[in-house]
Amino acid sequence: MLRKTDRMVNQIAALGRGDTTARHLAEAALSRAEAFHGLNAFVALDPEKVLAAAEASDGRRAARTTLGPLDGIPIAVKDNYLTADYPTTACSDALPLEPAGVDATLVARLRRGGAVIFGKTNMHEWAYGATNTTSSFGPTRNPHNPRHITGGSSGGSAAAVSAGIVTAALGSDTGGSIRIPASACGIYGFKPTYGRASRHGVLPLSWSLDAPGPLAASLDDLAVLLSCLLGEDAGDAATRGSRPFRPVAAHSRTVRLLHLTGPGLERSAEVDASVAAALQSARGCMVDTRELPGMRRFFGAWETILHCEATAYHQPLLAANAAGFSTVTRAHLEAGQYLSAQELLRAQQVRAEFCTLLASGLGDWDALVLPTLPVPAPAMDSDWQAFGGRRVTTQDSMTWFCWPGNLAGLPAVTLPCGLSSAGLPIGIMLMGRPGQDERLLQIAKRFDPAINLTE
Amino acid sequence: MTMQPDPLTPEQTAMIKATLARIRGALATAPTRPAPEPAHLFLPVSLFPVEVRDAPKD
Repeated sequence: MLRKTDRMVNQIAALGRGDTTARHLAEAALSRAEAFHGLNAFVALDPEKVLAAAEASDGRRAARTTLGPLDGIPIAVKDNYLTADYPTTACSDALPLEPAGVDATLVARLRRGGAVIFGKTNMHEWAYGATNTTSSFGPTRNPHNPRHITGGSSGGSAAAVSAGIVTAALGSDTGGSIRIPASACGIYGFKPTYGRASRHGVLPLSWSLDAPGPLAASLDDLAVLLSCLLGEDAGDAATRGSRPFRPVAAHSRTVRLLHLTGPGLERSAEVDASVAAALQSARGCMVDTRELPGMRRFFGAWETILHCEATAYHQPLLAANAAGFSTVTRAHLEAGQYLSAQELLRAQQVRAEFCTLLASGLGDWDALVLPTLPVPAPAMDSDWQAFGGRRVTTQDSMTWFCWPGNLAGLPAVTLPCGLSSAGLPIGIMLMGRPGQDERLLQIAKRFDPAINLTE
Repeated sequence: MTMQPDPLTPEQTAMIKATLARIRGALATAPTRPAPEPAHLFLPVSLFPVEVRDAPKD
């Protein structure tokens, strides 16, 4: 799907050389969005708004007053970010179809950097699921095979990048919702450390697990985006003291990777083989394999916190308009009403236990390694997945490896590492130490030259 | 007039029961000893600006 030329850093260079214009990039993206309409990646896209923003960018470039590297770059936005000029629905019938009149902080930062906001992307309803098959606008389809899901909940953003419509998009991640669809669609996704990217204006799923972030066509694209997006924001108390993202230079020191395994971390044979090959080919890495104990208990803590926080946020809307939620989302929210304060506190105890285990119970490590998904993108109509002796729901298979990053608030990146026998992408995930987002991206680059699905 | 909530379907009721059973089963497994303080209790302090948090106390 994605072509090697479809990278944001290439677009930035071409704009800088005068080889293209923002209007040309916008027209090309609109044309490609039309060609890939069947993927159902977008839920709102207004060509007039897109072209007006592109022409404004060209005007600034002609006047030598560009606003930064993103000036003139089309970037799509997940439909749970408030946008001044598009409705924000979280792909739920429970919300009205009216523009919010204000931008989420990260959208505002993109606009201040001159980016062309390229519509709103399809998502799993309220981000409360990881398949992107539950949406008031219908399911999103995988560009690599439209009979397969994109994963979610940022599935529209991933499909838009994977299909080469845009080179970057915003997503949000509570249990893997950036990394899951990025992996399933063969692109790159980055979940920042909790508190480094502002949640202000992003409709919450779970306050203490949510992390907004970018999906893009390359690691270099992610670095440019993170430089624009991260940092303190008065609208989000969790970002207090958060540093802006400053890319770090490559160095030759050997980095220590821990490849995590054990009960609860099973994967299919072909996924395991792809990840093993990627680890073998990574430059300057010492790889140890380590079993991570207690996964069932830690998953229970993540799920308790998720349901309690989501229900606390949605309870007024649930009481007023239960019929506005899909069957499954309503069941999730109702379940949250039965969990007690003691159970939430117990889950937070287990969360502390998990953070301690990762921080000091695994020895020294620079990055933790897992596949991003245990299986390639499942077929649209498959409710169950079997792998590594397990049989789990498709929903649970999507978050299988990703929720630990949210429970501990770690930065995490997914990058493509191969193709399945059916031609579907396989991704590898690296999780870094908290706050070391820059270093994590640098470690990921040790893998990238060996991995390329974009030729 | 108070609106009556839409009743749950049998499918939703079954999903809720399964979710709660799964969560409670997972959290009931053996904790570490001593059990740590809940993680989020540290958060409120961090929400204050550093100059307030670290100001000299009377």
